[in-house]
Amino acid sequence: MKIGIPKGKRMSAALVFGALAFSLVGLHSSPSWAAEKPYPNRPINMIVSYAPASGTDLGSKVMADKVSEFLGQPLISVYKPGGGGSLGAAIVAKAKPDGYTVLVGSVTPLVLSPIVKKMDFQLEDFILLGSYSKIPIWLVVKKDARWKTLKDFIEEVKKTPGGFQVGTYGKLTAADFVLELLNKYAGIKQVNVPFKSSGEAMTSLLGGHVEACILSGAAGHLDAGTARILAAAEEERLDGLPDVPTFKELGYPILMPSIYCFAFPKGTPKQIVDRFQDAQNKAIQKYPKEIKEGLRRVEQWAEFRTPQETLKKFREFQTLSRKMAQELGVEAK
Amino acid sequence: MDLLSNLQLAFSVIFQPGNLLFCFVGCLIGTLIGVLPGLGPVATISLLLPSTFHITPVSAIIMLAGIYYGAMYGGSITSILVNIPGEAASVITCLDGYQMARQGRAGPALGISAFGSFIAGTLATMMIMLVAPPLANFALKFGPPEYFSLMFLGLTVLTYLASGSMVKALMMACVGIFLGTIGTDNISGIERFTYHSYTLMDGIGLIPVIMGLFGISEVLLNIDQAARQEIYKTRIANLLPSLRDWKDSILPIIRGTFVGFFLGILPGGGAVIASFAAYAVEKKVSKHPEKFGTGAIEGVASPESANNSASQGAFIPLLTLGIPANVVMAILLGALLIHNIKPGPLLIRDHPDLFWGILGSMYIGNIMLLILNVPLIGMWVKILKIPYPILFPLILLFCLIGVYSVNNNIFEVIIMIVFGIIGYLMKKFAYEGAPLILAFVLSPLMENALRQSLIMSHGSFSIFFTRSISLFLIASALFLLLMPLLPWFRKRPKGGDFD
Repeated sequence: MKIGIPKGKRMSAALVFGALAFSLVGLHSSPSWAAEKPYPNRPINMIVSYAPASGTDLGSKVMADKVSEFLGQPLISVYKPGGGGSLGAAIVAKAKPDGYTVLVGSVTPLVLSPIVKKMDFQLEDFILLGSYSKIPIWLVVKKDARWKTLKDFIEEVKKTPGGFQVGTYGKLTAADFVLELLNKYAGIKQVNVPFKSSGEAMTSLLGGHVEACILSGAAGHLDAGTARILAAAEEERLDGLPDVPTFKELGYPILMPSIYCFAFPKGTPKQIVDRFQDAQNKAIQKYPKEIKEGLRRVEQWAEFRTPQETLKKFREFQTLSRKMAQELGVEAK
Repeated sequence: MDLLSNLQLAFSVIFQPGNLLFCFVGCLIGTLIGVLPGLGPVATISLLLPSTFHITPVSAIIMLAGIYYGAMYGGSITSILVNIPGEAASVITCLDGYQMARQGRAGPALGISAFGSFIAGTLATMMIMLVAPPLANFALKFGPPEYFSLMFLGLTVLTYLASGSMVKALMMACVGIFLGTIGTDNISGIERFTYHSYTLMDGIGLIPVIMGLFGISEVLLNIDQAARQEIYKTRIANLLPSLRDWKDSILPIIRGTFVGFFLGILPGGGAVIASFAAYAVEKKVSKHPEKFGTGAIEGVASPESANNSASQGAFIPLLTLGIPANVVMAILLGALLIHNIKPGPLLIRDHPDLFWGILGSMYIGNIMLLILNVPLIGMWVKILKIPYPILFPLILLFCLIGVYSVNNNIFEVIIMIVFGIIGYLMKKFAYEGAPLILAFVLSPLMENALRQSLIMSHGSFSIFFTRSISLFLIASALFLLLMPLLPWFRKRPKGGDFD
């Protein structure tokens, strides 16, 4: 019996086989000829582990806008919110280290989460680039509150039996740690009233439901004159806020580096990492004012550091967090 | 400030051709994504956010706002036609809207839904114009104790949602409460029932649950009943609501508008809760509550009005205080920041063209949406004529894509499918989904509020009774609960008392 394709169907058969063969070629994840082109030769996925229009997102957009100019490829925001930032971090930790997946990293998912919860990644699974911005964490009260300075505030808390209720954006977060550290150093009792976000905490503050808040960002209330910052958990006073003291200068060495940097998965080739860092450096060099202003608009401060310094800061925070977690009894084993 | 001159400013801003175009585009996109099950305003607005960077902030917000309240128009269409909610806020419309469609009254249902949304939207805009700042300050008075009491009131109202067996409805509410506990507890930071899954760490998402429980389950149900499924009376009686329909609906629309507006202003409230609450209120005050669930037009008019006025009311805290009332407002806040506009109490003063321009766009947008939606009723109704073997795979496809579009998380799609199977079984055994959803939405909010309040009061429950708003709400809830027991409300049979 002759096995063959019947005459009338030969054309369709040829088409089908042709399509199949063509698709087999296309099944390669990236055509081999493209891999020889220098990095980057296609858009890079920027994983944002928080919701759109969050601080992480807006800051990353400011940087991506300028860095992509020097990379020659756009940085596309991919939102993977979840687990307080850990979902995005976990995804990048496991991603292919080919330089096309980069995390918008910050201390909470990279340092804090693996310590207080069981995660299957840790800080060491990432290659950190130089930091570009920071969001300060500070103690905020209403503008018409009775305390004009941190000293007044602490004095009154000491006198109040049962302590004060202070709103934050969650338990086991950097703000929570600031609260506990302040308790420790000042010998006072503040009770954390956890809200879901800085925004919610701020709303509660304005409504008079809590006396003070420790959070990041004030969404324009500072300028509008409805809120006052008593102290910031920073190394030195912030640009543009000359009247806001730091905890450190007031005698309470509380530093909470809420810095942002890009992070590649471990194993990404050195030349790719260097290329990206180089593009970032050039962007900062060419557009320092635009980047600083852009960041200020979304309530962040520029913090340009080298990768080594950034890693050092993250490590310092890791040590501090481990200590705090042990003291508070919340370390995840 | 002079109201008339403000109105003048509003219309001068919106009637610029660029802004009119953006308003139209926003409304159009909004309607379309409202229709598509799963895909919602949050995903769309965040997708379109970067494209707004290069246009003026006024135009940007006008367009994004249009998408948001436009989605509230479109969401009811699939709810009515195929019993699948296009939007979380349109779940409750399924109950009566779909029944109306089955009786051949899809046209009036769609019509009253569009008109109700229009009236609600316009009224809401007027209210924003007149009372925005004092209302915003009132909303600020709601702290954790007030939220708890409000949610408490909300849960008592839940019982009015049940059309069938009360016991089953309460069981579903308990399931909803349990599902609401899954996730990371905000107060202690400890995970509950998450099994270390990153997806579950934030709790089960509302969209996968709703799409599964109402969407996928409906598809499964229809496949099951395919054999018997011949005929809905696809003989479409009229395409527009009759005079009788209008008479029945006008008060529900007004009531829905106010309920929705109030709940929309509260940060954390929202269109979903508003639509449930409005439906329950309607059922409670109705002279024929047993008709709800079988095709009462009030059950369509009220929630649809509520979700529209809620979506517009949600702008108040953002524009007057710089506080986002829900996720969409948070994205808009980000958009404002990027455009170098600081939201906050000074926004009206510093950027009057933005504030009044948005208000103007709401008036015009609602008109545009009415014009977009009403003539299309005839077209939408024809969808009922598409053979189910083609229609339902398409719906399934949209649900799958829609849920994925929310968080780019395939696990959520799996959650939706699981809930689809659960929902199918629920429908077969006559367990209602609405009480489950309401409990699922309310109970985490309620628990958080309870514990925050107790932290604030150092453990004393008196905080709920010493604050006036909270006391009022709890008293209302208790009154509603105890009302059936009070002798004045017991219906006495003709001919005197018994015993």
